Parts: sequence; C-alpha cells; structure tokens
Amino acid sequence: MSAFKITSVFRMSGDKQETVLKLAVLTIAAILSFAIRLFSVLRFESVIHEFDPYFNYRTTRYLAEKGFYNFHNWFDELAWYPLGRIIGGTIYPGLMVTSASLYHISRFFNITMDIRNICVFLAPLFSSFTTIVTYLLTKELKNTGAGLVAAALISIVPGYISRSVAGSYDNEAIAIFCMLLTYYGWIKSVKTGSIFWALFTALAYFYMVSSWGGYVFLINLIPLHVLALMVTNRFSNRIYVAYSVVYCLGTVLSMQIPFVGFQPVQSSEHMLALGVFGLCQIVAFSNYVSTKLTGEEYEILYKNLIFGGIAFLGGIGGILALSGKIAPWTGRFYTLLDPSYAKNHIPIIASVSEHQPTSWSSFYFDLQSLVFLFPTGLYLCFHRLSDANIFLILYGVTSIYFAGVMVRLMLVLAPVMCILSGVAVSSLLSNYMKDIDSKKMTEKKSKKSAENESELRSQVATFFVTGMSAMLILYVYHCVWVTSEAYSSPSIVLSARAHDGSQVIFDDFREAYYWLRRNTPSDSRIMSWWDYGYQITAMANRTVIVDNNTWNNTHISRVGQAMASTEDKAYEIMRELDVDYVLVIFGGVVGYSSDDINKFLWMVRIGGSTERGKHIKEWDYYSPTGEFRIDSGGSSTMLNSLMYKLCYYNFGKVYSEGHKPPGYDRVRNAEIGNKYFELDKLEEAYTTEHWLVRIYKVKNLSNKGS
Amino acid sequence: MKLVLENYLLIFCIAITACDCNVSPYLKIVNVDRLIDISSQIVKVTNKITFQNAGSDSVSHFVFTVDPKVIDNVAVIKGRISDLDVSLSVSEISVENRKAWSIKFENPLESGKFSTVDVYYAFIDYLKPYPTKITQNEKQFVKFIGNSYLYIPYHVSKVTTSVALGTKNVESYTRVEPVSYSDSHILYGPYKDLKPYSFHEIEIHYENNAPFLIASQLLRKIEISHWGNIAVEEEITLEHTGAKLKGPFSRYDYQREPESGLSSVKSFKTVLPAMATDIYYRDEIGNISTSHLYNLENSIEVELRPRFPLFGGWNTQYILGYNVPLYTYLFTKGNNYLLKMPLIDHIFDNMVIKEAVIKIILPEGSHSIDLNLPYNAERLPDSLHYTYLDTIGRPVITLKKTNLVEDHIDNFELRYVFPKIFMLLEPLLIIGFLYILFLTIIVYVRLDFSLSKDEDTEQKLRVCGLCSRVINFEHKKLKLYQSFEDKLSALKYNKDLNSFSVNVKSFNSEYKSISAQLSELIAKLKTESPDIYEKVSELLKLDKQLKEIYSQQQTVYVEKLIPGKINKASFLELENGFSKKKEDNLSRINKLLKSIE
Amino acid sequence: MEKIPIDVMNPYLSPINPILLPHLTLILFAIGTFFTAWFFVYEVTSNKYTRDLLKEVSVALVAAIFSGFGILCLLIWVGIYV
Repeated sequence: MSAFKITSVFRMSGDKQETVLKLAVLTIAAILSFAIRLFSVLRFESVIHEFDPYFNYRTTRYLAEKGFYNFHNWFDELAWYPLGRIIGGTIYPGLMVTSASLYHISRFFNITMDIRNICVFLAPLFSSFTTIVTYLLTKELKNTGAGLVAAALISIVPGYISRSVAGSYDNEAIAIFCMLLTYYGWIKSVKTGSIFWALFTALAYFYMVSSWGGYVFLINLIPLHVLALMVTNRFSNRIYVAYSVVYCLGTVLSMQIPFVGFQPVQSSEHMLALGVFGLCQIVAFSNYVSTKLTGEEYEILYKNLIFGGIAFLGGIGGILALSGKIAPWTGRFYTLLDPSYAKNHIPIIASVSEHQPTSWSSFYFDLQSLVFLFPTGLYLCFHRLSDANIFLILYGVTSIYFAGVMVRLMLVLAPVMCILSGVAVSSLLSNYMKDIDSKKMTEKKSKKSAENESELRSQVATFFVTGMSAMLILYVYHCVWVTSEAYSSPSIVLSARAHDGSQVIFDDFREAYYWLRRNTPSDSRIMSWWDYGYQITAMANRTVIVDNNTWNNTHISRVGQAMASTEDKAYEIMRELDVDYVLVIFGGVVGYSSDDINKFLWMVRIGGSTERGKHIKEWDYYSPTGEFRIDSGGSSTMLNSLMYKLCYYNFGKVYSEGHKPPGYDRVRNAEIGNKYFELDKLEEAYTTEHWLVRIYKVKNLSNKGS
Repeated sequence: MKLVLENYLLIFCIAITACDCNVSPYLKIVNVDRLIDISSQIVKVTNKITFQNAGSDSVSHFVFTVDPKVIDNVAVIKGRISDLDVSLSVSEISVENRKAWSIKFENPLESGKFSTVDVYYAFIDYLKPYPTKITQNEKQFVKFIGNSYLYIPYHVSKVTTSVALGTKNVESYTRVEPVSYSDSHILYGPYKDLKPYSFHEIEIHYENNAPFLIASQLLRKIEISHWGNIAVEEEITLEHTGAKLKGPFSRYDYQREPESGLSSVKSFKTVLPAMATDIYYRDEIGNISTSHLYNLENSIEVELRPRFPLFGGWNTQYILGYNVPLYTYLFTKGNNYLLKMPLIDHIFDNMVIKEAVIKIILPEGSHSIDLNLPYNAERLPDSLHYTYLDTIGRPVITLKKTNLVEDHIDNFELRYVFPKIFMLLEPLLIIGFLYILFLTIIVYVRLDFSLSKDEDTEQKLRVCGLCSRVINFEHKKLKLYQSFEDKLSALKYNKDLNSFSVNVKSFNSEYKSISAQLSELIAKLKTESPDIYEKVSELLKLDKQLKEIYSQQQTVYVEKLIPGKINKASFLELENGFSKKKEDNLSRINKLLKSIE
Repeated sequence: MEKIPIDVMNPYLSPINPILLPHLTLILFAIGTFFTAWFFVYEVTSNKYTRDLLKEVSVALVAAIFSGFGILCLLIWVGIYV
C-alpha cells in the first residue's frame, strides 16, 4: 500500500531516447542495405557479375598487384587487337583506387582478404555509406525525421539495388555515394557559406569525377541551383563563396583525372558551370557597387554590364566553338536531350539495352510507392521554399527527366525519390500522429462541439496512419521481392528449375573461358561479339578483338561484318584481324534468349554502318515477308552467314525437345532451316556442356597443298 | 640448413651402421615370379623372389636393381616377406655408380636356408602413347618396353614373367619362347639359369584407355589453428598425358556416341578423411559446381568433375579444400604437441604427382619444431605466414618432393612447443583495437579548436551541466526516500526500533551531505541562469516538503504505532493521507525535473 | 630434446566447444552491443560540463571486452580459424 515506486531503473532523458532511436534506425538501415544485396552471394557464390565489372575487377587486380604508377601507364595489349588500349587514360580510376586501397589497408592489418572478395562486397559497403549520407543530406534539407525515413527508404530501393548488389562491381556502386556526399557538402556550404564546407564539397566532387562519367549531371545541377537562386533573388554572399570555391577547386581537381583532362574548360557540357561562375562574379560585383552608388547610376551600370557580359561571353563561346576548342556535343549527351537521336544515328549506342528509354512500368518496378510520394514531397518543398529546398526541387525535376530518357539513369533518380518521399512521409506522419489521440485534443479545447470534431479528426488520422504504414510495409515486400527475383542473378552463372523442382546450374560461360585459359596458346586472339570482350580478357586471359569499351566503331563494325558474311568472306576478314578462335553464344539448346542469334541484327546494322561494310544490308537478312527467321523460311543470306553456321553447326542432329524434330531451336521456337553443312575454314574447338558457348578454331590454310 | 632429413625406415628403425652395398656372391635366386601390371598409367611390378644362401655365413640383406632404362622413373620400391604383411627395410645405395636398393631380410639368412620375399616397385611416366595423336573417336594405344628376365646382380635359376594388360586388344608383342597369350595376360617363361643382370627386351603395343592423368603440380597447405581446426587446401594442376587430341572436338559426338572420347577424363574420385567438413572445390575464376559427395564408412569420397572433360594434351587447375577437426591429428601433453597426419593425400586412383610442395603452417608462437618424415623430401627454408590477427607471424615449414604415387600416402610426425598463453593474444588484440577506438572517440569529443568562445552557448552548456548534476542529486535523494520507505514498512512488521534508528541516522547524514552539495550547485546556478534557479528552488521547496512528510510519518511510527497508542483505523487514515501527499509531491518533483532536463 | 612418445599424449581438444559457438557469439555480441550503444549515446548526448571520464572509460572497457570476445567467436564460427 505504502510501498510505491519512486524511481525507475532506466531513466532516459528525451534527448537520449532520440539519440538511441536515431542510432538504432540508422544502424539497422545501414546493415539492411548491406544484407539485402547479398542474395546472389548466398544463392550462388562470391563472384563478379555481368560484363563491365569484370573489366573493373581485372584492372583492380592489376592495380593492387603492380602499384599505381604501373597502372597509370598500363598499355593493355589484351584488348582491341591490334590496337591495344591505354588503360590509365581511358578509365575513371576512382573505383579501382578505392578497392585497391581497401585491399592494402586490410593487408596492413594482416586481414588476408582476397581482392575478389573486396570487389564483390564493395558495392554493398558503399550502399551502407550511402544510407548514412542520405540521412545527413535529408537532415540538412528538412529535419531528422525525414532523414531517417529517407535513409530507410534508400537502403532498399530497387532502382539503386539494381546496380549495387554484391558482385556488381561497377563505377555506379560508389558514384551514388560520392554524388550524395557532394550534395551534402554543397547544401552545407550554401547554408553556412563557410570555405571549409565548400572545400569539402570540392573534394567530394573530385572523388565523384574520379569514379563516374555521371559527374556531368552534378556539375550542371549545382550551377543550375545557383542560377535559380539568382533568379529568385536569393543570391547572397554565402552562395557566392560556396560556388566560387567549389567551382574553382572542383574544376582544377577534376582536370587531374587523365580521362577528363581539359574537358571541364573545353566541352560544351561544362559550359553552364563556367557561365554561372562568371555570372556570379558579375552579380557579386554589382551588388557591391550598388551599395556605393545611387539608384539611378546603378540602373545604368547594371544594364550595360548585363548586355556587355552576354555579348562578351557569346563572342568568346562562338570563337572557341568555331576554332574547335570546345568539343562538340557527344552522342551520349544528345541522347539525353533527344531520346530518338541515338536510334537514328548511332546503332552502337542504341544496341545497349540500358540506353533505351524507360517504360512506365519500370518506374513502378524500381521505385514502387515512391512514385506517388514523390509529388507530395515536391509539393511540400514548394510549400516552404528555402535555398536548400530549391536544390531538391531542381534535382528531382531534372533527374526524373533524365531517368525517362535512359533506363540506366534511374540510378540518379532513386536517391532523390527517396529523399522527397522521406520528406513527404515524415511530414504527413508527424501531422497526423498529433491528431490520433483524441483525448489530448479535448483536454485542450474542452468544448462540447470540439469533441465531435476531434473525434472525427482522430478517426481520419488513424485511417491515414494505418494506410501509410501499410504502404510502407508493401514497399518493403516489393523491394525484397524485386531484389531477390530480378536483380540478384550474376548472369555469369545461370540457373533454372528442373522438372522435379531441383535447381539446375548452367556454368557454361566459365567452362568455356576456363577452357580457353588452360588449353589455348597464351597469345591466341579470340573474336567474339563485343559483349563478351571484358569477360574473355578477365577470365580467359586471352587477347580479344573488341570489347565492351566501344570506343572504336570501325573495329566493332569489322567484327560485325565478319559475323554477317559468308564463311569465305568472313575468313578473309578473320585472317586480316589475325583471329585464332571465334566464340559465339548459342542458347538454342537450353532456351537462353540473350544469345548471339538474337543480337545478330545489331551486328548486321553495326557491320553495315561503316564504309567497308556498305554491302551488308539489313534487309537481306529478313525473310521475303519481312521477318527475322532462322527456319527454312529465312533468307539465304541469313542461313549462310558465319554467325548462323557457327551457332547451328551439328545442331541439326540434336533432339533438343521432346516431340519436336531434330534441330529445334528452343529460343526461336523453330526448326532450323540449314541443317547439314560442314565448315571448311573453321573447326569446332570446344562446345560447352549445354551448348551455350561454342568456340571454333580458325584453320591455318596458308600452307595449303604443301 | 639441413636439406635432406634422415631416412626413417618403415618398421625397423635400426640405424644403418656399415654400408649394405656389397653383393653377396653366395646368395642365389631359386625362383622368381614376376607380375607386371600395365593396365593403368603406372607400371607396377611385383617380384616374388626365393633366395637361397649357398655360402657358409649368414647374409643379412640383398641388393635389388632395376633396368637402367627405367631407373629414373621409379617412384617407389617396397619389400616384404611373401604372403605376410611384414615390411622389410629398404635403403637406397649405389652399386657400380648406379642407383640400387639394399633390402634387409627379416632375420639374417642362415647358410643353406631359403627365404621368399616380395619386392614391389612402381615406375611412372614410362608408358608412351603410340600413335601420339588420335582423333576424338579413336582409342588410345600405348607401347610398353620391358624385360622378360629379372635384372638383378644374382644368378637366377628360374623366372616367369606375367604381364597384365587389362585389355584384350593387343596390336603386337615380342615373342620370346616360351610365351603364351591368354585373356588380357601375356605369360613369358619359365626361363632357366640366367646370369646376373640378364636382360631381354620385350615390347608390347596394346590398347590402354585408362586415364593418363598426372598432377604436374600439387601445392598442399596444412594450416593448424588451436581453436580447433586443421584447414587443408590443395591446389592441383592436372594434365592429361595420353595421346593428344587431333582435330576438332565435337560436343555432339561426345554426348551421343558412347565410344567417343574413351581415353578422356570426365570425372574422378578423391578420397578425403572421414571427418572432413566444409569441402570446397573451385579454381581461379570461381566455384566449380559439378561435384558430388559420398559419405563412406571411414572416409569421404568426392566425385570431382573438371569444368571441361580432359582430352590428351589438355590441362586444368583446381583448388580443393576442407577442414578437419584438430583432435583427429593433433596430440598433446602439456605445452608439447605432436601433429601426425598424411603428408600427401589421395587425389585420384593410380595417381601420379610430378612435383608436390607441402606447406605446414603452425600457430603463432610455436617453436622447437621437430619433423619426422616417412620418406626423403627436400626441406625448403622456413618462412612466416601472416593472416588474421597475426603479429609475429606463423611459422611455415615447406617441403618439396617429386614423383609421388599412392604408396606415398603416409603420416609425418611434427613435434612442436606452443605456450598456451599465446591463445589469449588474439582476443586481446581485438579488445585492444576496439578499446583504442573508443578512447579515440573519448579524446575526439574533448577536442575544441574554436578560436573564440561563444559566450551564450557556453553558458547554456554550463547551465545544462549544472542541471544534470542537480537532477543526479535529486535522483539520489529520491533513491534515499525509497530506501527510507522500505525501512518504514519493515519497521511496521518487525517493530525493531533499534536498527531503525541506526538506519535513520545514516539516512539523515547522507541526506545532509547531498543537500549541502545541492545548495552549492544552486548558488552557482543563481549567477548563471535566474529562471532555472527559480525552478530548482521550487524543486528544493518541494523536496523539503517531502522530507517533512517523511519525518511526520516517522514520528507517527515511532511514537504512536510501535508503542500501540493508535488504533488501526486512524493509523490507516493517517497513512493514506501521507501517501497521497507524497504521490502529489513526487509527481510535481518529476514534472520539474523533466522541465529542467 | 626428449621426445614424448605418442601413447602418453592425448588428442587435443579446442578450448571452446564448436557446438557452443553460435550461442556464445550471440550472447557476447548482445552484451557488447548494449554497452557500445550505451557508450555512443553517452558520448553524443553529454557535453563537456556533464561528462564523467571514469564512466566513459569503464563503459568503453566493458564494451570492448565483450565485443572483442564476440568477434573472436564470430570469426571462429564462420570458419576463419584465427
């Protein structure tokens, strides 16, 4: 009766509770963002995925083993035979330097981690960092609550996971982190106007430039922000200091990357930044002058300055453009502005699936409920406009445009979607959570009429909060499902379900690459379509004619011509290119649809796009009715092309599916049209277990008859 | 550096005192039955030799020689008493500048006595494919060149040589009468009265589709961890040394025709220790998914399929690793340890290893290493290995040996001393690392680089600090009240006034000291922040009231309840009044505390 | 050095039974995490007038010891035999 409790065991002040919650949410989000990306490692193994990551992996290994100077001066003779490739000057080295430093640091502490494992787990690791940076950025833009929601959202957003699962060792894996870090620094410096934060931004920008070509987006967005601030009459000394430091330092630093070189002062993509920098000086100067002059005098000076400045800049720009100092707009950039540009002009850009325009469904697929929360967040930003909010709005609007143009830029959109949705969710929830407890309301108002009203408000609030929670829960389910189903296959190992439900693994790619590595002369040159170039050099350690760095269109076109020609014609091209082995991917036995026959039309188009391939016309490869067919209805050019023969050699005898004639292609669902033929100039050197990869040796016929 | 270690004899560890290299002229061979097995890639020869001592002195050993042609290919040679499983000691000697072996009889052979021994030897890399290149659908034929007699420095009375081919398909064989051929065997002899070192070349050309698989390189790492594990990892380069593949490889034929690629190697079986766990099979570009495990009674069998079938001239490389619990191979007494495990292990049946490098990695801190080998091996310089949580490095013993076959699977014994205290080094390292991390944070939060102090925030922080101390004291007080409360209720039941008054005294003194400290704090607060000061004074007032209530309650207890001067009803009434007041007071105190937090 | 014959030696048993490893890891980690969290929350929420060095150092020590042994057990559990 009298023994009541005076103190509780754990007493925590509100401050401490908040800290605990914050730390807990952030830690869990960071761990979650690491863990959700491990599906493929758990299902298959710790292996590098896809194509480009193999190149990055190979270069990282080189860097880790041979040191930075050798890497910087590396001339790679395994690629682009006979041209070779200067690696140091044609890549963004940030990714490799990051993992090589991690490797050396862990070696220093005797943590003997394999360089491969560091590469595999680098992307999930940086995703964790991204989660934390997102929190910091959103906290600066809005408040802690929004920051936590945004961090939780970005940790599992599929649009970002698609390029950062374990094994997806690509530039984007760290670039998103760098980008958000730069934005964070930028917002900080805009808010404080301190040189320290501007310096931080410049360094983060340098890291970004060193790791991804997407830095161009960043160097246009920041000036755009400054411009918008000027237009809205929010320009101040803080912004002047921030932008001047960021631009000058950032540009000088970015020019240290050999691949970027003098582009920041020459190419048109960077001109906005330069122009805004000039404008900043003028505005700052005129602001200064206006304090010293009377209104009328200033008016005159102002007009003159504006017109003079524009004329001067225009003149300089015109002269530079005419003299060729300013690089022309690159094709990829035109694609950004005009989605149909590449399709009409550059087949090699159009042939890459990630350069296609985004469909509506993939927005929902990659972002789910964020698509609906995004406008709300945008509205809330407009609602209470500030310097930082304007940045957020600009980032949101521009990136949604770019994501619409190119699937791959969904990656840039995903973070801002999360930030804006975080703002929306947090504001809405904190608004409605207040109303959910009706008793408190009545206490305050204590009127009879208010009681009914608050009752209603409470019900609405409950309904709304429940709805929001359901939406967020569904979001989590969706993200996990998408990650597990769509984004977690390494694509180097394929898996399928057998009739009895057990898993069948097709490891044919590595089978073939390893065969090449072990059982061909070490100087052999392999011809394949460019998709497989990086994998062949990395896994088979053999010289390739073309690879995924599609810098030389004529060379790729030559390979396309060889694939599209008849065996005799192709033999001449192959002799010219010194080819020893030809590698083709053929999915007809197991039903693997992204094989070389399905890519064949691109080979024809690219092959026909240069002067020497003029005779190759796309229409020759269609059947008379205008279809792309491989059965007896296909055109004879098609049925006698080298690619056709290499894929279907000996296939005419194979029963690939029950109740179907031999030579039944399971991808095209047709019986092949040209079954019994022999190869004169090539011989089968190796075919993998499921026929996925077929390798042919080019016979050496120069001494024929002797 | 001791490069060649002592050669330990298998069973009889008798030191070799004199040179056993003299060929006794009195020893005669009465009968020899030779069985030459050439059905695999290894030539295995078993000679069943019956000796007779024709002299007067006993003979302790005999000298065994092999044809000069194969002498460099001999991988292993063993002697034992015929039909008994008793091994005889073999030592390598030199006779007439040629390699030979001296084999000891179990007991010295007395004058006129007979003794039958089996001498087994195997030689590798000897059978040569002929033709050297075949197409995918052709069968593999090999040539064997051997001796139908026995090449030995003794007079032989009778010899018969039987050659087991493992096939019925023989292209040709040398005829030395008497010879007969039946059902995959060729029988030469018997030949009578042969001089020492007699030699007659025979050549057999026959079909042999056995896998001509050799491990040209084996790197075996044995890593010991005293946390309970031996990690074994073998990196193996396999080569098919049979007839080379000529022309194309047709996957269609390989899948459809059973006769296609007979001599190629699709898969092979490796036998691992029964306790092996966490088996992995991979190569430099990743995991190889094509393997199967079979748990047998006292071993584990792994069926390994290379990424691609191995045809003649093709090669592949893979890594096979597994863990074995430490107690299977490690024995201990105090700080002394003995590791006894196979130097090499089974890779495939009829295996041949051209060159093996074995690395044994001992735990960090072990010393006084002493190694016993079952046979000669070159010991390379010791080194150090650094991996997780190492500081001074783990000692590594490296051995090298060429030309090994299955008969070399034998245990080595490695003794070393490992102070147990070294086990603690690893956890301490982690703890130290974490602690330094925490200390850095502690230091970091104390760093202050600001040039000018902002007085406002400084003051706020100071007030905040004072407040938190006030709150701490107040909580201490509340705790005191709580204990006082408990004591009162105890008094109610046990009515022990003496102990209660002692308690009250200590309570009062503690209370006073806290109050004194509190008033000191409050004085400081007064100058810093008047409005907080007001709140705290309010708090103190409430606290005083609370104290007052308690002392009233104490009086009631001591003066009325214990002497029994009050009836139950009025006591309860008083008690209720007190608790109501206290609750009221407490809630106000808590509210105030919240507000100054 | 005198060689100790094998028959007087005993098979070696590791100091931690492998079956217990998962439980041990989880328990040690739970305690370690609790103290680490406590430490960090304390560091973040206290200022230079409210800090108590002794408390910080002792919480950090406890956190380090439990997390340290937790990490060791985790390493052994996942197969990195240190």
